Amino acid sequence: MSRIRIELRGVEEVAKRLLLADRHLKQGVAAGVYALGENIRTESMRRTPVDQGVLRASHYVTPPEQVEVGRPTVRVGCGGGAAKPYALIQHERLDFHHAEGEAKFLENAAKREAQNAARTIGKHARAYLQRVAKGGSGGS
Amino acid sequence: MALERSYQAILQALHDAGIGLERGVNLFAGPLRPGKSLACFVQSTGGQVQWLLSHDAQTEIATAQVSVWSPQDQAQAGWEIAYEALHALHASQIGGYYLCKVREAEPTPIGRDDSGRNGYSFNVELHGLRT
Repeated sequence: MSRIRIELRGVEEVAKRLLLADRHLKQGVAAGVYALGENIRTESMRRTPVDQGVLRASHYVTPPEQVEVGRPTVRVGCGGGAAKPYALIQHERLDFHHAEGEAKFLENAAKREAQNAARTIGKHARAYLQRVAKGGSGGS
Repeated sequence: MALERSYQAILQALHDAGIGLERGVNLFAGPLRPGKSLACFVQSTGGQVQWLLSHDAQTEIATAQVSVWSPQDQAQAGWEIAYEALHALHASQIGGYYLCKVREAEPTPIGRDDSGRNGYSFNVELHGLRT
């Protein structure tokens, strides 16, 4: 009776690469979500009504955090500090007439950028995965 | 079932809710209009369309703002009507949409209009399948 013997080499290397790819993918998605947040912030600032620019300057994006496993989250907002007393009113009052900017500036920015969400996140995830393909060791 | 225009669906639901809002009397479509009495306005604020690949269909999320304006001596009554309106709409199924969702837990004070009425608003999402 003949026997076939197969010897697998490099299994450890493959496992190491897969783990690395997983890590890079998570980092890439988090970077993509952050980039999406930045895009919303930029678009919202462009749409913000301006008097002295306090409300526009109050925009922020928080760095990505893992609020739930596998779901990196950023927060995009505005209206803190000196803009606090009127930020919500400026956002919600549809009857105000603005020489520059509009009501619902943050909401409209989010609606617009949501259309590009998959593309933006995918672009970053791909770039991080390509590092593994090129033999990158990870980090950052 | 075809989807109604979002503001029409909301207007009808509020009219039917039995909370003292009546179309053409104190419940109107469109932007805030000047006046001294308590009034509610429903204005579309756009929305989004998303592809549902698994269903080979598009889901439409129409958004609208509901605002209630009440004279200063009826400020609390205005807030109460806004609150009732919010709860009449939230988690309901209206106008052919499978979900009506209100984003806020309670109406938000949005200042006074030119007539001195206090305003309270909330934002509504209507989710429906485009066929």
